[in-house]
Amino acid sequence: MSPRWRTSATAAVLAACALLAAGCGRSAGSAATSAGQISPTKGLVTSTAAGTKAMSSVTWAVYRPVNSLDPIFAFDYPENTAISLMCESLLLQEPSGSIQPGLATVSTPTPTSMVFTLRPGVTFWDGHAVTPADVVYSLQRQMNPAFGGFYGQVFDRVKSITATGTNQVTISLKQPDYWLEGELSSMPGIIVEKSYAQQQGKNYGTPGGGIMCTGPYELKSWTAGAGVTAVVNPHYWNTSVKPLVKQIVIKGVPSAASFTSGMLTGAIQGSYYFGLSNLKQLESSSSVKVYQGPGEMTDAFIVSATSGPLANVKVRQALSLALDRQAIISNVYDGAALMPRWLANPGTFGYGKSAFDAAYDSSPILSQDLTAAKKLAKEAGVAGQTITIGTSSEIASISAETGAYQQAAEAIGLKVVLKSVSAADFINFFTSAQARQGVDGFLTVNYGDYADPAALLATVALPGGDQNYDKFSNPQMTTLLNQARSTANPDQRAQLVAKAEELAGKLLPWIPNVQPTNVLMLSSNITGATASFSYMFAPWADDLGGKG
Amino acid sequence: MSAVIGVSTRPARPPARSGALGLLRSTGAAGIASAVVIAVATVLAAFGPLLAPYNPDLPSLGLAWIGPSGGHLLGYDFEGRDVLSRLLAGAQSSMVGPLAVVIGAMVLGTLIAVVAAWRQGLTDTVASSGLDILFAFPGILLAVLAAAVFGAGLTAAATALAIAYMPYVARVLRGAALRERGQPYVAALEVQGASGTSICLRHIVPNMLPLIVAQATILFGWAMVDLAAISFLGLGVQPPAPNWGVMISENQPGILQGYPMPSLAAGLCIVGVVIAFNVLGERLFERAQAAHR
Amino acid sequence: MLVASLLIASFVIFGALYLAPGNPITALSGGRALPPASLHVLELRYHLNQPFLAQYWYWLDNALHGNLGISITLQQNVSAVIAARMWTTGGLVLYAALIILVVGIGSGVIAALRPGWADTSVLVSTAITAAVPSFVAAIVLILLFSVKLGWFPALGNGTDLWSNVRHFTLPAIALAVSSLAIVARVTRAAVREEADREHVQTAISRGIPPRQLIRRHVLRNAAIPIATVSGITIASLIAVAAVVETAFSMNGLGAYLVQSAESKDLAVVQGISLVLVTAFVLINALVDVLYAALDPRVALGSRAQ
Repeated sequence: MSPRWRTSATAAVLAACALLAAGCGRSAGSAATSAGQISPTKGLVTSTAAGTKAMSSVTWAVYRPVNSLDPIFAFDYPENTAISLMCESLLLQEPSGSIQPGLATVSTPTPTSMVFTLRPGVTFWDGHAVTPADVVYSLQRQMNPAFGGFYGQVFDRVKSITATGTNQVTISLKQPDYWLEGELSSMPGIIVEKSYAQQQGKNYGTPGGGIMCTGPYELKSWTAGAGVTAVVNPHYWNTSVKPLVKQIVIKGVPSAASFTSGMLTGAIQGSYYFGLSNLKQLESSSSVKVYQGPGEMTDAFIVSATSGPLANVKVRQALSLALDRQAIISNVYDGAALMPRWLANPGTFGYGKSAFDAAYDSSPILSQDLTAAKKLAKEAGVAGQTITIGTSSEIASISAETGAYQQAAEAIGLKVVLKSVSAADFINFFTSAQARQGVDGFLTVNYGDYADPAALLATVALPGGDQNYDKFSNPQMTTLLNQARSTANPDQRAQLVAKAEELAGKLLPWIPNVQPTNVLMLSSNITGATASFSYMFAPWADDLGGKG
Repeated sequence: MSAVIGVSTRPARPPARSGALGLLRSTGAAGIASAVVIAVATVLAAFGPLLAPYNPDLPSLGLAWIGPSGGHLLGYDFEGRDVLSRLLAGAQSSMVGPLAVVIGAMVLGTLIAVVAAWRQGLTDTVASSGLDILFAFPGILLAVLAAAVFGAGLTAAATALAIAYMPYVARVLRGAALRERGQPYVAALEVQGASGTSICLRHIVPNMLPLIVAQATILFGWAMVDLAAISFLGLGVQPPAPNWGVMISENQPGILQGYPMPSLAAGLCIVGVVIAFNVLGERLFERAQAAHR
Repeated sequence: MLVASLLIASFVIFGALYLAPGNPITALSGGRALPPASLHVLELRYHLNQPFLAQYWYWLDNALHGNLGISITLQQNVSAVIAARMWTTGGLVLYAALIILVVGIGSGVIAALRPGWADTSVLVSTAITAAVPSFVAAIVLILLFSVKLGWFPALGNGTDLWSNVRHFTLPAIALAVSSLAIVARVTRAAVREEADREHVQTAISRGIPPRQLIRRHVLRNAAIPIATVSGITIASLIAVAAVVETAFSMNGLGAYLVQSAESKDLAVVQGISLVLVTAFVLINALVDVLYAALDPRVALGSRAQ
């Protein structure tokens, strides 16, 4: 080969590289995209304008494929999104966070009894009427440990559930429980048809068994690769709701890059995807409209260590002080998140708002303070010790936030070891003690079942709470929360819960990172989806349709 | 396959000068340039982590994606780490893996080729049929299977690739070994009472050395590509360990956002080193073939 | 030979279950804690209480009848999962094969028959592209044609036929790039060698039109090494497709194989491996047949290197 073409070849290649790389990288001066708003409600919307044109099919993206349609196993975004589209619960969560009658109205003749009166005329997709027997069955299914459901715990103050009339079900309680209504407006309160579920047995809620619900959309098909396909229920009991979109396909799109590309090209028409580091790219595109609603999610670091450095509260506090939360807001959420003051997202103040707001505004923001962090770490004397963080290199947001924690840990003298699993297996950290073995903590974007700070806090900070992985137990916390649960007056309840949150901010059973807003993305030619977090628990596509 | 690639229609070169340096010189300017690149890469593989100007492992999220600026020649990656430092630190795992694959495949392949050529008859037939059957496994597929069974990691992937490449090496070397076997000096040695093992080890293999070296060089290039691919898939070197293949995949989101540098830089490193190995390997192969014409 | 290859390959794929650390049950559940009922189901389905060879026989028999077991992560039949994704991988490999054949062979022939500028540029570009792994080609293509120029979509499968073609173009090119270089070079060498042959030179001196010559003698004889190397590279596409599918977030067999390997869903890994290896062996066998058809002197099954 002659030298001449080789030099020209090399030159060509280098020039090509320079061209490709030209204009790459952001400038060192560009600050974080947003300082992370502190006020929770400025500019946030709970709903979008109702659609006006009929549409044949809309593809809706979730962060991974749906793995169950059984409400007793629904504790993550994809499952909730699919189930809330097609199934309904006893009570209904409005986009504002308030709890209204759903399939039933509720009355409390005594503090320890709740009477549910079923709405007349409500039918399942197969035409059968919803009976008290179905309600009793659905709730007992949630409670029964033999089914292995996730929500057994929310019924731990229930004494009995019985049908007490042709359209009435009574729940009698061991003690007053003012959290149960909220739970019954969520996955634990979803009503399924008893005969259908019994017939399907273990297959209920799987691709083989299907489901039988009452909602405005019914399940048409469910396959790997294609996703969950739902079509309009022609015999929906609520005749004032007439969905304009004939078919909705819920598809798992694990790669954020793939999702972005899909939204920009119109292959995906809507999603509640969060943790998008390139949200601005979608916001500036003319083919996509981005809405932000009040969020109920908390981005937090779950402490699962029962021994070692993180079992020491001073170390947890130091880690929290060393964390660069602004970088997370700009890098992981591209601005769509708030700086935290509590573990709870201020979007969860669904009752007792004035009490909550007052307490919240007087709590300090969890800003970075490296000096204080290092001082605390020195007092705790953990320099050189190692912590193991569970992560998944496949999930970009988790990967980046784990990096932020590595940074914070190194700043206070801790060494970090990562235990990385695949995206599909990340959920195992939550469900399997075996997977958590040796892991001191892992990240999560978590939420309570309804708009109440206590909903999440109870699972984290009460002994036996199903997300209490580090065996956290504090008598004052336990008293506050249990008392709140028995308190009828919403404002008094709010004050108790606010105290519990303030305490959680000091004891840090979990370390709050940021409070994401609820992001809704729609193709510019459609509108009408719910913009608030209630999409996770109640039908969200009733008003979805094309833009006039 | 490389036998066919190596065919060229350039005029015949003068006979190769003896010695490694002479061999190198006879591969022409392209060969020498490639050797230089390979030498640099080897040095980086050995001393990369020490040469890195900044910490390649510590994330600094607030600095993510910043382009080349003051001291950071290639900018920062998706977690705010210095790209150049990560490339230097990553040279180690990016080069050591292929080395292990090559050593494994060459040793096994040479062994089988020489034994089959020496024994001939049934041993040869069985070995050849066995090799033909093993061809059914593409390297990447075997590595994915190994990752599923033993867990993702460099060891499993490298072992799988060595096993997948071995039949190819054995095929190519078997021909040369047969040729050597038929030389008169071998018969002479046998008559003198030398054992098969000593003849193979002391005469046949050394005479095949040019071909073995050429084959190893080409193989290194393939191993590097395949191992980088497996690390890119997430089944080889695990993030956040620095590795060129891993860097391409973990920085891929940046390409869509307008920050292509980290991903591209790692890709260019791989391509550069692989070109060097390919060019040098082909030249060496031609020499080795020419010597036997 | 074909059957032997397939049998041994399937044996290795199945036997991998026993190579896994721990017992087969742990391997099949992918390290997850499954309830005892599910474990029992696994035991029955895989006949784990029977001798190894019997288990292998059951598995193979099931596989031949289209039953490849159940995916632990998706709770669905592996064969259903494969069927849904087969066309993506098939389409991608076919598209790439087309590019390799047309562009690879085409440029090789041009380079061989028109020395000078065309020849040099082909040599240069193949030297470079032969070293470009498919995933590096992928990010360069995405950067150039998707982000900077906006001609093609970056990721995903596309919805209807036309958008499928648009979505598959960049991945097919990425898949074809390095194989293209090899095929081009082999074609160039083979055609050059034939064109230089004595009988061709004689024919030229006798005044026979060169076009006719090229078609009848040069290309015909050069066809053998060209077909051989084309076949081998196209067969190897099946494995490399996994990398391209992952890079472009496509919903294909290869990408799913990788995801299943990562989440240790062994039944899916075994099923997809079996399908891919079978395809690989079949294509190689086809190349053997083609080789024998092109050169009647060669006995079937003894493709010389």
